[in-house]
Amino acid sequence: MEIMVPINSPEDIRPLCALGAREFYCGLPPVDPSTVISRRDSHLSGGEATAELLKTAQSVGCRIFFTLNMYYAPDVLPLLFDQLEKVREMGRFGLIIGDASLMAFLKKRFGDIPLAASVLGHALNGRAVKFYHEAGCERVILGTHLNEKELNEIVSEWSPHVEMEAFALNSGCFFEDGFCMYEHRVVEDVKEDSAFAAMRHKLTSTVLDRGPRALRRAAYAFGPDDNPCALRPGEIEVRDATGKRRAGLEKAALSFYSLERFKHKCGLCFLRNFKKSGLKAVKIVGREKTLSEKRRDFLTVKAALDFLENDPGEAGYEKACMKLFEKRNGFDCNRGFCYYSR
Amino acid sequence: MSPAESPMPIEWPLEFPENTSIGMHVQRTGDLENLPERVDFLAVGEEFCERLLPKWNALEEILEKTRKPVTTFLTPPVADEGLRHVEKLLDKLARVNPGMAIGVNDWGVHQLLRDGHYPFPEIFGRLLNKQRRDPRYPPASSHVESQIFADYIAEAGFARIEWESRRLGDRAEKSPLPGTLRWPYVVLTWTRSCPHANLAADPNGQSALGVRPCARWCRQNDIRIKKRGFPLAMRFQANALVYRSTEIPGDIGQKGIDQILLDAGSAPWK
Repeated sequence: MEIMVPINSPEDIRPLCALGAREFYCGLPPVDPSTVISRRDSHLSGGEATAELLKTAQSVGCRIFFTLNMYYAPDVLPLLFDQLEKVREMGRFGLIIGDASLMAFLKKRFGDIPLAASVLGHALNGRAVKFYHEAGCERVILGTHLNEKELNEIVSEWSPHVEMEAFALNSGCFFEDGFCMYEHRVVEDVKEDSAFAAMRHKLTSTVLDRGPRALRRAAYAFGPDDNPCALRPGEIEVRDATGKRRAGLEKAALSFYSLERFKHKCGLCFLRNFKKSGLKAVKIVGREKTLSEKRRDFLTVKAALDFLENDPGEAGYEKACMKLFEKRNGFDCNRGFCYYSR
Repeated sequence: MSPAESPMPIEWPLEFPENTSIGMHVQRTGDLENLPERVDFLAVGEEFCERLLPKWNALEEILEKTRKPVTTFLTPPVADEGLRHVEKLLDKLARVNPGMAIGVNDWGVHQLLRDGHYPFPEIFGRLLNKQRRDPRYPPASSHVESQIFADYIAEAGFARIEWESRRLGDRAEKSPLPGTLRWPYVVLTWTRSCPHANLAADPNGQSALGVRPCARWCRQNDIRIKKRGFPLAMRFQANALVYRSTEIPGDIGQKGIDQILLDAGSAPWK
């Protein structure tokens, strides 16, 4: 089973390859100085970095996937296609795409580029996998909003026909990425007459991605430690059929939607059964992380997969994975951070 | 907060644009009581939660009891078990009401309709139509305005497209398909790790949120969210997080929208 490793620089490849990594994904650089096409605020810096990345990847024999998993406005599309033409001349790569219409177009225009259906394409069932397979995808990335049985059923049925990938480590939202339209980057305090305010009205897919980097970083109104998808006291109200508030349930809901549970998602225990079903690859989240954090995360997942080589049995494997979680995070998992449910 | 987004109950009767047919999404026979005369057609089914998809006899009961034309069967995003249930319902609907349109919110359902050679026209559902929905930003250009998108949904065989009122902008008029405006809820985000099911299964919040068995807890309980920095109250409508925006653009006819489909539970009884 391959481990799909996040990177944001060509310098990441060699050290991670030396540890055994063979598949990487990252965001392409902005198509012009003010138009970012990467959904995450962490991507290659420019054309030189892209060329170096592909050259290095070729020399060490690993696969590169670029993420095109936003929904691009009409004025961005021609710039995007121009960039793809240029990058295609630099070396071989695959594309991870969420928009079915863009996927169909790219298949016609760039038929030689391998395509993978992004988790934003929300393949929740076998027929959806078939849909992406027929659209020309070589790989389908499954989301975390499937339970273990559901995911195994899809992988068992479709892994003979198409490569399947699932999430293994790091942050995962309580909501389904593919259906989420909550804007995570919000400017509350920008003055209406500032250049930035004028710009935000022009912005399209990920609203603030076209701004200068420093402003975009400042635009996370909630700050790095207060993700908008996590709830804080007073932000949730649970009422029963009589209209009475249920304080106990509100407390439980705050526990479900805590930032800690958001940040430390883990699917290691499930990899034993996923591998048996025929899963091709597992993904680590975290393009923005430092190289040392990426190295740590890769080694964590690799250690879990290495345990499988000697088949320690289900109980033995889970125990080993729980130890890996504790070693990585510094606290017990107590099965409270699982990507998947049983 | 604008008056159109007030959390106060919606006043009925409502003023809807003329030359627009009005539909109501009904989920149970009780919803048929007090249906306003202005309602021209009905939609059945469920668009958010596969666990709330009706059993055939419940669906059949609605079809038998109403005098209004039932033109649309809505379907949600589904895992394989839910897809098998959808398939059973489609098989029966194909015999009883083959002219019905199917609201599609999952590519697997679209593939099922294609593979099964069903007679139904397909509606590109509100969840597949990725509009920017965050009320903190004005309408902006989007991929749905691109020719690539327009060509794709027409080639894929969709006959109609659903829009939501908020942030509609001028996108709908660029669509090659006739439009249905969904009203008044706007879907902000969606999950299969339903908070209702999780609270029912683990009332102490000890475990991670997950895909849990469902006892239709959402039918008796209400979960609302008020986030710091977000101007509107949000509510879990089953497993979808929605807010209410009663705004209806005055020129929707010129945008190619000839239907307004009222959300289940929206009016006049709630």
